Amino acid sequence: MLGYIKKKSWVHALDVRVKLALLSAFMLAQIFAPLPYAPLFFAATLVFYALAGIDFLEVVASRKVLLLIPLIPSLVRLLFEPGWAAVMGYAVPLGVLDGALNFIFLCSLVYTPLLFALSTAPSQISGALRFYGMPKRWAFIFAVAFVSVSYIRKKAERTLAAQRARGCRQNVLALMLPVLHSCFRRAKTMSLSMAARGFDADAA
Amino acid sequence: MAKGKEAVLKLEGVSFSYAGRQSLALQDVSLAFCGGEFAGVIGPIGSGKSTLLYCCNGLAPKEIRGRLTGSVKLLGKDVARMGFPEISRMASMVFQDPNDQIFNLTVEEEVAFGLLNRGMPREEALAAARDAVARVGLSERLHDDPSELSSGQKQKVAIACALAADSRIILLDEPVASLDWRSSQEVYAMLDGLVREGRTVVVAEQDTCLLSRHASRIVVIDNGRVVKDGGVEVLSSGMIEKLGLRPPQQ
Repeated sequence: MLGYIKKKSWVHALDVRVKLALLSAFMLAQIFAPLPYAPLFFAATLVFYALAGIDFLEVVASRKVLLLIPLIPSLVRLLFEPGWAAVMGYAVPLGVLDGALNFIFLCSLVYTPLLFALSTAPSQISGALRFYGMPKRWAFIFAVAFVSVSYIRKKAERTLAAQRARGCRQNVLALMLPVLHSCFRRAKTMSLSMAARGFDADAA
Repeated sequence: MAKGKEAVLKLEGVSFSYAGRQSLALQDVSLAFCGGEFAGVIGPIGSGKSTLLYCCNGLAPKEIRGRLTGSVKLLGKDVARMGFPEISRMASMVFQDPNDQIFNLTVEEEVAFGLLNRGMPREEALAAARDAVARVGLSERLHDDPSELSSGQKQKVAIACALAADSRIILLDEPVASLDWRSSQEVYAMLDGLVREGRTVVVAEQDTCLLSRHASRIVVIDNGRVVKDGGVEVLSSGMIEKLGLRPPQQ
């Protein structure tokens, strides 16, 4: 889901430390800006995707579950916000306006950090996080977590196929348990392998 | 162990029980392996083969919690008194499933990982990694994502990690369990090469056929005990079948 997409673009080529700083500044600006500015930030997000050479619509389509994050709170606003607002001389239900702006705001909030993950090699993330003072142990955990996302995704797909072959359709446990078991086993072997190769998470 | 040769890996009265379990996974195991030896450790699933390897390089009990009695010595030094950076200079480990140990984005970085942990300068580590990758015949995949390699190639990358470490002892835990016959042959041919260089190879294995062709010594383990230690003729004895293993095909 967060898997790195190898491309040759200036977004990919940007120093990870700079990219991280720009992302943080962009996110803070979004959060503190008034809600009517949300479309501007969303437009900027779309521009960033274009510059990275990554198809935004394809990203959305292949990660549908992420849409739930902006969708649910926006629906709540749409349905429960009372009153009317004037937009360009027209009276518009406040719920619709607020819901739409919220949806755009949250989309931008979700898909901009996703672009960072999609355009940054996990091996570089650890160094950038350490540059900003994150302890080595945590920086490494983040980097390995990023790498492991594609493994978990593949494992989930295989498990889903295996369970469907047995006639199982909507059983979350039947999907989650084998995936979790596999992830824990992988984590255990990986930690042993790292220890055997002299990795010390607490070393400077 | 061959007479007159010095042991590079020595276990004396080693017993190990996993944390929270009463039963012993290894019971009073005493073994010595010398330089240039190709030893196969064979036994049924759960007999203690992997535990033996974990004890050899200190993963048990340093990382795998449990109680170890007896002593394990690598090149005359007590494993219990060494840290992993020092142990990894003497003994390298290759795990059964390469997917579980490979996590870097390029083959080169994966192989250099252990060297960088030792504090080796980056350029030097990458040069050593390139050399190790060339030795396993994957030079053209040096900058590729290891997750995109075939299972056999991934296992070769794992072996390249051990080669780059330049350790005298290579421990392998069922390295060809997930490989096809051709890849298995290639991996074993590579191990033969390491033995010719004077390195000690200890491989936990179920495949008696491969061991009969490549190993010079067979250690049979059952219920955590060494029940037989001898030459490859051990594989043809009735003991192998009694343990539920398939004897090598003639």
